[in-house]
Amino acid sequence: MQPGEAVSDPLPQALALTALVIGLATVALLLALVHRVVLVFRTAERDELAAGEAEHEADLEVERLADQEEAG
Amino acid sequence: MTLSAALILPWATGVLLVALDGRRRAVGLLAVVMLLATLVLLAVLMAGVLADGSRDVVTGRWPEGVGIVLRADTLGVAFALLSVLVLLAATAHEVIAGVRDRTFPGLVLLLAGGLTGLFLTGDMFNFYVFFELAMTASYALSTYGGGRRQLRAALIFTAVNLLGSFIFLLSVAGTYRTTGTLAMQDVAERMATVDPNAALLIATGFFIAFSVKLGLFPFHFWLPTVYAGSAPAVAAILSGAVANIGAYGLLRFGAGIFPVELRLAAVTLIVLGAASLLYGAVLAVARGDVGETLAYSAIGQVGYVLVAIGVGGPVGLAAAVLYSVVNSLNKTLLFLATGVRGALVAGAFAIGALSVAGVPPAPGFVGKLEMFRAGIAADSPALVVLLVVGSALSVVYMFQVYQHRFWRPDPAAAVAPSPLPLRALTMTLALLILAAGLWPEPLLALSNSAVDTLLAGRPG
Repeated sequence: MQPGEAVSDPLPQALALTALVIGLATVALLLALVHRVVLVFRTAERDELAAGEAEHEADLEVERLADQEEAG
Repeated sequence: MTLSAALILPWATGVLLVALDGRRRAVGLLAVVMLLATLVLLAVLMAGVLADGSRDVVTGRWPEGVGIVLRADTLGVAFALLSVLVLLAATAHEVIAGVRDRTFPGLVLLLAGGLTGLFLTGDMFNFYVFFELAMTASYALSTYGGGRRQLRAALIFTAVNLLGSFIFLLSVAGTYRTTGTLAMQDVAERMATVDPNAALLIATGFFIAFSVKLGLFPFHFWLPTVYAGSAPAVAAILSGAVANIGAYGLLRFGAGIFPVELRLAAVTLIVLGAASLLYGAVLAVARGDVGETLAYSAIGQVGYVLVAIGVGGPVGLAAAVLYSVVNSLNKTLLFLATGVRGALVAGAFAIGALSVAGVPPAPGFVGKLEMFRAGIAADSPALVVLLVVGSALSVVYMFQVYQHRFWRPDPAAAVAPSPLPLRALTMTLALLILAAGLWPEPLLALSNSAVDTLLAGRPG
C-alpha cells in the first residue's frame, strides 16, 4: 500500500457492527417477550390481545356509572 | 475520575446483581446502597462542575478528536442526578415492599448505568449505545410483576420504542454522512454548513425519536396502556427516569446542536406542545382509573416542556429544564403513592397533586411561574391563557383522583395498610419535593446554569 492512497473510512464499519450487535440483542429480547406473551395469552393475534384491554375499559365504565349515581 | 467512577459503578454492580437472586433482601439493599453511592458520586461531580466548569474525558487516552469524549456539564449532571434519585426512590420502595422478581435490582442498576452514560457523553453514537443499554433494561423492567396487563404493556412499550431507537440511529447515520463527525461539539459547529434540507430532515428524525420517548402528542399512543399497566414502581421509573431521556435529548440536540432548525420549527413545537397539553389534561379529566389519569397527565405535563423549548431563549429553556425536573419528581411521587395504602399516604399524594396543579408552596408552582415568564417572554397572551387553562384542568383531574382514592370508603378498605417504612418513604419523598418548593433557589440557579452551558457550547 502506497502512502497517499485512498483508504476506506473505518468509522462507519465500526458503527454498523456495533448497531448490528445492539440490534441483535434487542430483537432477541423482543422475541423472548413475544414467546412469553404467547405462553401467557395462548395467542399471538393482535385482536385477541386487544380484547383484554376492552374488558378493562368496560370495568372502568361500570365504575364511572357508579360514581355518577353516587354523585346524583 | 469521578466521572468514570459514576459510570462504572452502577454498570459493574448491575452486571453482578443480575446474576444474583434479587428477591433476597440483602441483594435489594445492596442495590439501594449502590444507587446511593452513584448519587453521591454524581453530587461530588456536580459540585466540581459548578465550581470549575464542564469536564471532558477522552476515553482510552486517545488524542483529542479521535477518542470518544465523555463530557460532564451542568445540564447532563443535573439530569443524571435526577434520574438516579428517582431510581433510588423506586428501588427503595420495592425493596421495602418486597421484590417479586429476581432480576429487578440488577436491571435498575443497569438502567442507572445507561442513563448516567447517556447524560454524560459528548458523542452521538456513544449516546445511542448508552441509550440502548438504558432502553433494553427498561424493556425488561416493564414486564415486572408478570401479570397479563404488565406483559401486554411491555410488548407495546418495547415495540414502539424499538421503532423510536431505529429512527434515532438513522438520524445519527445521517449526521455522520453530512458532517463527517459524531462528536456533539464538532457536529454543532459543522451543522451550519450542511444543506438546510438535509439538516432539517436529520433534526426531524431526532425530534420524533425523543418525542416517542417523552410521549408527546401525537406520539403518545403507547403511553397510557404502559404507564397504567405496569407495576407502580416501574411506572415511576418509566415516567420519572426513562422519560428524562426525551426531555434531555430535545434540549441537548435541539437547543445545543440544531439551534437553527429549532428556531425554524418554533411555531410547530409550540402548537404540538399546546395540543399535547390540552389533550392530556382533557383525557385525564375524563378517565376514571388512577393510573390512566396519571398517564394522561404525564402527556399533558410534557406538553409544557415542549412549549417552553419552542419559546426558546435563556428564559424558555431554563423553564423547560426546571419543569422537566419538577415534573419527573411529581410523577415519581404520585405513581409510588398509588402503590401504598394507609395513613400519611393521602398527605403525600396531596403534595404531589398540588405540585402538578402548580399550587404554592409545592415546586410545581415555581415551574408554572417560570412557564408564565416564558409565555410573557414570547409576548403571547394566547400562550399564557393556554397555560392557565392547562393548570385549571390539572387541578380538576388531580383532585378527582384524590377524592376517588382517599375520600370515599374504599371497597378494598379491608386490605391491611402498607408497612410503616413504606409509608414513611413515600412521605419522605413528598417532604423532599415540598422542600424544593419552599426553597427553590438551588433549582432555579441550577436550571439557569445548565442553560448557560448549553448555549455557551454552541457556535455564535
